[in-house]
Amino acid sequence: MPLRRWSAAAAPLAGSPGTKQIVVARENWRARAQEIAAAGGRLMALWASGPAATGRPAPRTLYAAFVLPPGLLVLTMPDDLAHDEYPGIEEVFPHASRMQRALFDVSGWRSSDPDVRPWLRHAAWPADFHPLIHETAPTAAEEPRPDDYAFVRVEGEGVHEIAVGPVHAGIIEPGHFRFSVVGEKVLKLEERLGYAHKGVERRFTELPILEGHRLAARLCGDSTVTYAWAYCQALEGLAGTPIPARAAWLRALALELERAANHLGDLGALGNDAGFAFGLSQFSLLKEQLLRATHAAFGQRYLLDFVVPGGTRADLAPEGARALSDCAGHLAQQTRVLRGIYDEHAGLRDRFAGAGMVTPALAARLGLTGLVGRASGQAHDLRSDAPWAPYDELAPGKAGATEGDVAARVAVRFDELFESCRLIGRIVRDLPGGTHLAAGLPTPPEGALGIGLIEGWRGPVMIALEAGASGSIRRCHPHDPSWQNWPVLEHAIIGNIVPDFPLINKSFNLAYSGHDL
Amino acid sequence: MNAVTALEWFTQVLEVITALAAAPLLFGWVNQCRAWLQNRSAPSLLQPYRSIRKLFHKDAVLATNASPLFRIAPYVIFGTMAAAAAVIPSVGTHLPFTPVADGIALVGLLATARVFQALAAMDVGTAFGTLGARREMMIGFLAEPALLMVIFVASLLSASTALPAIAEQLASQAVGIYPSLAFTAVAFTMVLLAENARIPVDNPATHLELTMIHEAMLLEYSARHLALLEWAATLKLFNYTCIGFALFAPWGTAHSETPQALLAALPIFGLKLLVAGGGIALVETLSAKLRVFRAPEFLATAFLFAVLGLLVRLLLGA
Amino acid sequence: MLLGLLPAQIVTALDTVVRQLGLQGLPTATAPWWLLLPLPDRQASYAPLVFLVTVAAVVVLTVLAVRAVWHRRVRRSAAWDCGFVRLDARMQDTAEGFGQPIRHIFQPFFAMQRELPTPFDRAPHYSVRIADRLWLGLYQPLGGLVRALADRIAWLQQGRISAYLLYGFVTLLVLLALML
Repeated sequence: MPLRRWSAAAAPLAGSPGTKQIVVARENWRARAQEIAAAGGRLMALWASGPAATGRPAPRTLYAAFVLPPGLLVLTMPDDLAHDEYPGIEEVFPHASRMQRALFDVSGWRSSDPDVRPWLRHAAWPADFHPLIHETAPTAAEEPRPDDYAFVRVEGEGVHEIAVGPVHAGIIEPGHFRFSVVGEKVLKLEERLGYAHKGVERRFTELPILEGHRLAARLCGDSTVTYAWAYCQALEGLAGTPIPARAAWLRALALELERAANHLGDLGALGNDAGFAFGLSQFSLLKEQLLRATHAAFGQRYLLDFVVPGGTRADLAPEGARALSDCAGHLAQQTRVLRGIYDEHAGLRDRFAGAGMVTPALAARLGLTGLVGRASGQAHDLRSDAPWAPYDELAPGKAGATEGDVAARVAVRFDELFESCRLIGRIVRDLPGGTHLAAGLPTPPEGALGIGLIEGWRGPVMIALEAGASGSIRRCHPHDPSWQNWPVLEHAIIGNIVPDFPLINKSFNLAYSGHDL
Repeated sequence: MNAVTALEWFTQVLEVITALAAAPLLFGWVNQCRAWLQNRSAPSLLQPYRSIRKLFHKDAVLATNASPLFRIAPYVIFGTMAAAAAVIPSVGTHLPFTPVADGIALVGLLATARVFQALAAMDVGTAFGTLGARREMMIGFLAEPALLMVIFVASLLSASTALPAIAEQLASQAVGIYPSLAFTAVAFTMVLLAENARIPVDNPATHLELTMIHEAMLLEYSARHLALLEWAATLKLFNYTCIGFALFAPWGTAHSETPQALLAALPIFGLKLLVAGGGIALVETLSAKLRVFRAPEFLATAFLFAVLGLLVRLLLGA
Repeated sequence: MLLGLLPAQIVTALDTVVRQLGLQGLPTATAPWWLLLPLPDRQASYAPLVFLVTVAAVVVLTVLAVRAVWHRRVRRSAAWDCGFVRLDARMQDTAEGFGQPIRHIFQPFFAMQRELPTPFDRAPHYSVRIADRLWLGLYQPLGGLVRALADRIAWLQQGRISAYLLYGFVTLLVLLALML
């Protein structure tokens, strides 16, 4: 059955505009995924929900969210209780594999795909314990033994492995990278993540729904505004109360400040990783100026807990507005100079160009998303593809490149930085009046599902929020774009040498904390 | 022993002690210049001394499978670097140790240190140690011929392979720049950067274990062993800088055996160090780190410059 | 080793041969036994034994100084594993790995056939076959040529006394003709 026919029956979901939901039977699950893929849809997230109960059978539901312009389509599959496994879709969407493995670790529902190694579970809890369906954690009888993960082994003479992490020489988040190499030549890279797992999905179910935004804001430090907004978007959708226009504009301002700060940091770090420390110090300087302007405007350097249900925590005073717009202008001007230096520096060009190549064809096949995707010809940006308020009015420009190397990712960062500076200026100038915080959000009805979907600096962040009884959270599933992009990094390194990996990794700059949940 | 030789021996001891004492200072100066050039506030000039002192006071931690070679290597490396300082003229050129080893022996001495460093790095058997050793040997086998070629050009000009003699000869001639020496100076600067783990070949400030060369080899070392290796690294930079002075800027060194000459030579020497340190920092600030497999091209270019210098000397006599 | 440490003695020994060949002697004779003076009128000399002793002395002095001034405390601990406890022998560099940079630098001289895995492989495999281009392009054809020539010439050697006597006779005749 063609996609158009069956998806016409989809019902709208609360939260992000254009989101729809449709129930799919188990036998149709894979076929529907194939039809979505054929229509150019991309897998966004995969999660399961079911009341925390002891033992089976418990009614549980499988969800898969696909980006299908003009919005998000959520496929829902109720458990038929006759099968232990649900049909895997790794063949159609390669990056589904890790989501399915993680889903089993936390929700205890296995897919039919061949890779059944744990993903989020290390040795901290036993294999038959699933934190989202079992009530109490087993008491640890002994010290957890180191996890024996079956890395893929490259056979052949002279092949050896370099095991890096989870503890690195610099102050960065934990992740284990296993290189199979011959000398400097990389034959295979395999990632092992989950070191930053802290059980947030379980924690959400213990929080009142009106306070969950605070946990969402702490999921991934560099995207705190993005996550908080995604959560609030879902929550406000469920409650059925739109936020004041001024609040939406202020949130967009915060989101662009976050984007600009991260891009400034990344651009400096990319220079530094190529041995060009001058770049780091210049961009650090600019980032610091931006943070100080943010502090002048909102009393915070980073906007943690700025986005709250119903609006924003703080309003923007005229002095703050002036500080921000001055800073944005100054940033744009200074960055233009620095871009000239980055573009014309022969040594930097040599390091950036051609390194960590991901061709547009490969990117499309692997579902590369967000900023990194835009550098590989995947011109998707929710801010312009499926704009929510106030982006429908702001009409941001979309950056993009097709080369797919580190240089392209640097170029996209520069372009987006300029665009963010422009947007900051525009928002500060045209900020609508009125209140910045709607009073009294009603408690959402039990069992309703809301979706929050926000294009953060790294890519689209999604939060699926299911309301529980009397203002509790039944299930909250946050999704970071890093889920799609981490597997692509394993492809990007091929054809490069070991010492180029840190630069390529930095050009992706993916989340650990936001991914490990 | 007459008074002259006594003074020569004094010069000899003074040279080595100056090298040992001033090497961390040069290192600190380069770091300070780098920080200034990058718009950062700089660490104290004395920071390298403090780090070394701190390391000496710590308890040494050795890997369980480390062999005696691993323990003795820092002493050997430090010893060879200190011995190398005895052969290179810095303040004066009348050194009693000169007949014992010439420039070629000096290159051999530096190579000995390198071999010990690489062996020690591979001793524990971690991936990073061997990774560093592998890259170090790649750099080394390309840098040594280039350095030898540089010394050959200078010895062609001065009819000697002993560095003090070269320095004395070149300084005594009328001030004028040999085109051949200009070429070799470029070659030597490139070798100096490569051999001392500076940008663009290696990054002394990196925290990325996969890109390191020199730092990767020191990864398993701690406390006094690390202190000796860090000190040896500063000595190496100092030695190379002094080789550079001997070959390309020999002016101002004491050629006579009077205490006055020595006293006069010291400030000039300090000034030269200041300028050289600033120069190194400038090059490092302006360039990015090369891809590892571009380093051979970099060193091949250095070798070519040196050969060019040799050809200019032989064919044009300039 | 001996040649490196006692070059003067060996050069002196060689000197006799050089003189017998009717060439000018080496200048070593004038120097003390521990010093190598390859060129008499130039300043270049090398005393390997003294050099070795000095370097060794400096090393020993360093050891003693460090022990005297500071302490000798040593602890043993596991090697750095990046917090990943399960390190095994597969994580040690191989000979092939160690030589890879050299192979990379001199790539034009090698004919390499590589089988590289892709990230999509479930059971990846790597293999490489290396051949020397010089060997293939220069020595092998030359060797082939020599062998072919040898094969052609082989009919001369028939193993009969009379035939060899004949060769000798013909050769003498030719020489005689040339002399005249």
